[in-house]
Amino acid sequence: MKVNFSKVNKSFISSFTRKKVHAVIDLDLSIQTGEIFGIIGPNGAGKSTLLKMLLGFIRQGSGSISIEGKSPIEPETRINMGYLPENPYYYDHLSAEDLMKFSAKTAGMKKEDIQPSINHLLELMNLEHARKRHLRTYSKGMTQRAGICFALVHDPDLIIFDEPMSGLDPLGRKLVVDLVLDLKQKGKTIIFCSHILDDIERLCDRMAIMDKGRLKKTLNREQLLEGKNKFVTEDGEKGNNWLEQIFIDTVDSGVRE
Amino acid sequence: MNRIFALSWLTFKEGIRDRALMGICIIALVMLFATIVFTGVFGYDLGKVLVDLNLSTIAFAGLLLTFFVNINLMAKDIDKRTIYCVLSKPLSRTEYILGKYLGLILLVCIALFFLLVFSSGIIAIVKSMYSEIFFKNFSWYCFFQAYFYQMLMFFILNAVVIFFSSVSTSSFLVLLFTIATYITGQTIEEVMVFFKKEALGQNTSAVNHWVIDIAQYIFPNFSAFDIKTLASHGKFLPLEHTTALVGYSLIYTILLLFFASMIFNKREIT
Amino acid sequence: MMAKSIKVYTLLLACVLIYIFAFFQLKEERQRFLELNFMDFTLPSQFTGPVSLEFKGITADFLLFKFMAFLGGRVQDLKEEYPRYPDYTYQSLDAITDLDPYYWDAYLFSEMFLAWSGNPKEANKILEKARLHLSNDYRPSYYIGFNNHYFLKDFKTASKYLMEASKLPGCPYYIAALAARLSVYSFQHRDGILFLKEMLKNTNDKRARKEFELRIATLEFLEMLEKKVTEYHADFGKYPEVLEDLVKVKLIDKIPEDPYKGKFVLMSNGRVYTTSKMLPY
Repeated sequence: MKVNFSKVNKSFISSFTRKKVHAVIDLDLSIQTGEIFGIIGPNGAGKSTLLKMLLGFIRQGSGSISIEGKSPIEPETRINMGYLPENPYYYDHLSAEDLMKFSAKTAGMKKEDIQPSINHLLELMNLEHARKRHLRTYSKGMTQRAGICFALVHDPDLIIFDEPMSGLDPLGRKLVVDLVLDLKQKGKTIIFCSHILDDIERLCDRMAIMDKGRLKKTLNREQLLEGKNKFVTEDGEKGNNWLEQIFIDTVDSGVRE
Repeated sequence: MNRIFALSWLTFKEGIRDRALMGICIIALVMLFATIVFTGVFGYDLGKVLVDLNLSTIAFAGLLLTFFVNINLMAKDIDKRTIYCVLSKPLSRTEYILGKYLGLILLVCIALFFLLVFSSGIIAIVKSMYSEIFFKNFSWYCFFQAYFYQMLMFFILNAVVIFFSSVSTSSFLVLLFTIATYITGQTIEEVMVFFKKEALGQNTSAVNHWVIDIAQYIFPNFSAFDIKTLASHGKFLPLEHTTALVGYSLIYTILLLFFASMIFNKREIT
Repeated sequence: MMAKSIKVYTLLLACVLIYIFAFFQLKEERQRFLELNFMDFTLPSQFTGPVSLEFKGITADFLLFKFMAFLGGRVQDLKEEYPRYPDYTYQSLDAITDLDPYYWDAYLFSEMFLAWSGNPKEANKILEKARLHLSNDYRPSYYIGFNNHYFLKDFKTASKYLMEASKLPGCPYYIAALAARLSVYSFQHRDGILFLKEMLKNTNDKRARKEFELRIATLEFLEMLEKKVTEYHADFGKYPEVLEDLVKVKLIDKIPEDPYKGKFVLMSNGRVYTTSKMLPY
């Protein structure tokens, strides 16, 4: 699914200080179908705001957003979208299975397809043993994985992950990495935000760096690999922290508002 | 449509497993069993006291349910960010409002129906303990009619909860305003009558009159749904009355949900 | 280790014993306190009405229960100990019948504890509400009529109400007769007896039943004595001076004891009354 941001602006009026806070400024972005697109940036850069606009939680101040030609405000747009929020919090007294059934039903899945899909995902995410337990009893890692199941049960074409790896142990992370690559194979479009640069490096076709509401830099895979090879630190180590360096440079050199 | 019901079911499941609900039901059951003991103390018209105690327990349980469980179900959603997983699905804001409302209603209906069944059993037990003569005015029809009217009131009250939840995120404020609406709704008729009487005697300020007049249209007249006293004496209300009440309840609920969804559509979920 | 747990348990035991002692001590003190400081006021219905929201029914039930608890002792004792007793009774029953105008028990109590305790006017005020709301019940009109006749001696009004009562379903036969008879002043203890017997039939409350039975017994004594006085007059052509005269001529074995601890006295018109405060005239 093709996603397009065009001259998008969003400001909030901070109720505390009565000052206008520009969360997103003049954003232009285009994401192609089948891409894995990563967004990185310091805290408060506007990443979450961006995702929330994509999901119709908040409305952009100006500019336009389109998903396969449709506006995010239309509920229909979300039929084929899956969302994993940052720090997901789910209903205490429901089980992962309840939640997934809800996700599947509202996405309009056929009745016969629902149970197999649930079973498959629970197994994949290693939650089979806890499927009927209340979410309140889940550990952080389990909640995260349950959230991923929730986002994917209806086989969406556009998947939005906000910090998918947070709270996961190395096993969990491997699961997710494998999952993402598998989804890419199937031609899904994935947008994800993360603070973990390694993951971004490993998984993304393209990545963007945001700072103070602006899209500062966009890189694609070739540029990344190229740069890595050429990059040498003071100590003589090759390539490893290149992305981190770019990040620090980009963020620091930003134009102050 | 299916989506709305899916959300209702989700809301219902979350509510029914809430410990608070269990606590309310236990208290209500204890109170109902207590009526077996207490009825005998009250003199001659045992039927009246029996119906009073049972219907009041059910009403009270419904109020606790609405104020403490249902408001929680609404306010928790935004407070605890559980609303993200719901709104990330292809549900419009209006469908969200309707889905939540139906979920709340389902919860109230099931819980109070459960209490009704118990209550009926208890009434049957107490009636068998004493001679018929003490239940001269008792009528099952009146008892069920009073229960039905009570449910109509809860349909409106829960719509009030939804309405205030769409305006404010703080569960405390929603609780405060809902309770205030409830109390106003119960007393507005009496105040109107009082003012009419006073107006005949003295010159009440025109502003007062005007305020009260407007208030009676804005606030729901909950006292119209309270026929417990009549029911306990075996007096029932005719069909026209019931029809009018059902109509009023329906329209008022629809209006509240309409405004709630209008307001909620404009809200930003940050 | 053992010593420590023994110490703990001993302490616990000591606390429990002190608690039991304190509990009974407090109970006694509270009893004394409550007897001295009985709250003899009720909130008027203009207040309790709106405050009880949709729970007016059980509020009425509860207030009546409170009232019955207050009546724990005999009415006579209460009247002496609590000079505000009539006010409290009236206010209480008035509030209750405002909350639930169909509450028959409250109206019954109004008749019993207001009319029959010297406040028939107040009783009538409350019973008017019953007459309005229980329009198909003969009892309110009957009671009001009876009060006017028996206590207030207003026979014209009494007749009007009794006539009304006699037309309603379930009304005993003699009420119509009484209404008719009231055009001629004729005061009889029998009216009181019949009235009380009717109330006795419809009462479940033990205290009330005892009250009724006592009154009925007293009235029957009075009625019996009056009959004997009439017999004396028939035999001797004049009325006896004192009741002891009846004993002298062996019309009765002895003067019966007044259940209300008063004395039976013979009046100059041949009527027998009691010095006790059972009848408020």
